[in-house]
Amino acid sequence: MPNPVVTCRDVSRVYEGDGVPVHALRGVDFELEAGEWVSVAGPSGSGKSTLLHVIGGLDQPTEGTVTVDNVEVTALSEAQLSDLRLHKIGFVFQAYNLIPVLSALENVEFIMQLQGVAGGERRQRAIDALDALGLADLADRRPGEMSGGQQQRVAIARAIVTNPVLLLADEPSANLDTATTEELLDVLRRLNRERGVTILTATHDPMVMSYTTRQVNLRDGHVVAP
Amino acid sequence: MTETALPLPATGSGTRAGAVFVVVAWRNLWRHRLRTWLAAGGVGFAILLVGVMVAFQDGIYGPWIENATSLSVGHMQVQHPGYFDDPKISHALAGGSSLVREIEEIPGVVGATGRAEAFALVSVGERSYGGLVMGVDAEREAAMFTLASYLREGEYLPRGDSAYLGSSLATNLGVELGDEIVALGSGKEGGVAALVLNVDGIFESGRADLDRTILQAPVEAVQSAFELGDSLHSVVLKIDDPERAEVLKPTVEARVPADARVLDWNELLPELKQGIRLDAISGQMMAALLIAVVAMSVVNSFIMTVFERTREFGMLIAIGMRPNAIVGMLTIEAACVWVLGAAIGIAACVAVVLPLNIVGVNMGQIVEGVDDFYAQLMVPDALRPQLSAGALLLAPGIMLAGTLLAALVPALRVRRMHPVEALREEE
Repeated sequence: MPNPVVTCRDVSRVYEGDGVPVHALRGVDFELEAGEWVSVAGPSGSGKSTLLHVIGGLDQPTEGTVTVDNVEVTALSEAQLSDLRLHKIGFVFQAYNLIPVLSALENVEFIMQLQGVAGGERRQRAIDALDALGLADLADRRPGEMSGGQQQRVAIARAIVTNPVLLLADEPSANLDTATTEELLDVLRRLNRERGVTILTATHDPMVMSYTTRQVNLRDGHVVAP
Repeated sequence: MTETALPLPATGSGTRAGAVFVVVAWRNLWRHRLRTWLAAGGVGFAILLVGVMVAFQDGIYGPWIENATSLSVGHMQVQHPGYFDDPKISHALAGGSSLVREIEEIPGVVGATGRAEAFALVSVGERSYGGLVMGVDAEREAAMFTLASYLREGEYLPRGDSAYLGSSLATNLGVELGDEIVALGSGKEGGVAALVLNVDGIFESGRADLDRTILQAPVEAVQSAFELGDSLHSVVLKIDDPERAEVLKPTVEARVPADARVLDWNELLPELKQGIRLDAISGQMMAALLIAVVAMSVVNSFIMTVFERTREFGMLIAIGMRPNAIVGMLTIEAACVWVLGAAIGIAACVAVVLPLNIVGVNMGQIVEGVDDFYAQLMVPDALRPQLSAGALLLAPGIMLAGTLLAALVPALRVRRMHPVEALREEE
């Protein structure tokens, strides 16, 4: 039986807010198999984003262990976490978060430049990624010259161009209208089904949940039954 | 503790990423054009001011030294070891003529002449004034020093019994050209020395101390009257580069008798050395203040940059860029600001210095009465800034360090940035 891409064991995250401890996650056990597209659902403050941040190595759990592709994230240094994020995890953010001074193509290339991928290969892979997301005609446009949906697709192209083992998408549809959200979800579904990209999405949007293969519900930091 | 390597593909060379950092940095500058131009303008202005100041210093120090030393002191003097501190007539060097010839042969020495000096009472009739009788080789002296050129009336030592004296001394004595004067003093052997001379020339140097006390006469006459034989009190040298006097000094010391002392102009004219040092220090202080003010503006600019782009930096950390690489990218932005500023500053510096070098700046025309003050300090009349490598490179070099350091202070905040909190920042 293959190892899960993500394993969370008894993960807790407590923040110190004005001297009062805030329990964002309380003993979460969670697994994500390769090829799955799982949505972590729940109301605001339920711990969805915190779980994604902990799995993505952006935040450290107060207790418990997190493993991504057989690497124990909770045991890594800051530098090792940077390398893990660069090579194994793709991020899609709610606010797109592209580099505003780079074109769509350059934004997609940027992450490969951090990896040290050579120029020719880098350019071709970036073009292919944009093409796969229907953005070939917008390659030279900067983020400010694109719609929200187009920017989010560029962000997805940037996230998948490195062939990560895991794509983390935190509220990817939050700033998009319904039609654009549907287009975006179609793109993610295609990536998941045709390329086998493993996706973990934090959302409270029912449309997003309807696209995913499995749903994990969080409430007050606990995983609860649907 | 050694970190265990992750089973990850090797990260490529920094060069590939470095190229895109430069692109990102350069384009980021133009997101806030006014701020960039203000920061670069500040850097350029500092480079202009410091560059022009250094150009003036480079342009003035050489002529200042030359002006001060060419009157009569020279670039170096070889003396009896005790003469400088205690100028007694007995503190003389034997074999003066051969010593002058020996010194002339030293590479770097462009001229040498001997002097025999004695303090004497200069008298005409009932009037007597103390003065320094300076026995000189008229031909060499006129060729090497400018005191002969300050001739107000008469001729410069045309005969073996000529006297060439300062205008104030002449006035005090009440003498005119053709009058006879007597210099009375003690000979080297203790006898009374009397030297009868004819006033053949009167000079007016503008230096009150010289005009009031100096009396030049042919060296042979002074040596004879003061029982000096062939002895000299000093051999005065001019060298090819006065600013290298301290470097050449050991060579001269090696060629003169062991009991002779070599003094360069720094020792002979300590007030000149102190004046240059004081001017340089005040310039350095002004430059440091200016650079500090500009650096503060760069710090301010980069604080704004880091503050405004917190979410962008959070995203970069999230996708795997190391905080130090972001600091590096911001440092490149600072370097780009410097490149703009340096281009502005150097171009402006050249545009200001070149014309001033040609026309010169006569401070007497700008500040009334400053000529006399400058004459006392032996500063040249016209200041001509010099476009030297120091003027063009020193200020940009200091500003590069200042700009990078100023940008680094706020940029280091990125190292403490928590990506989750940074991603929540409003743009």
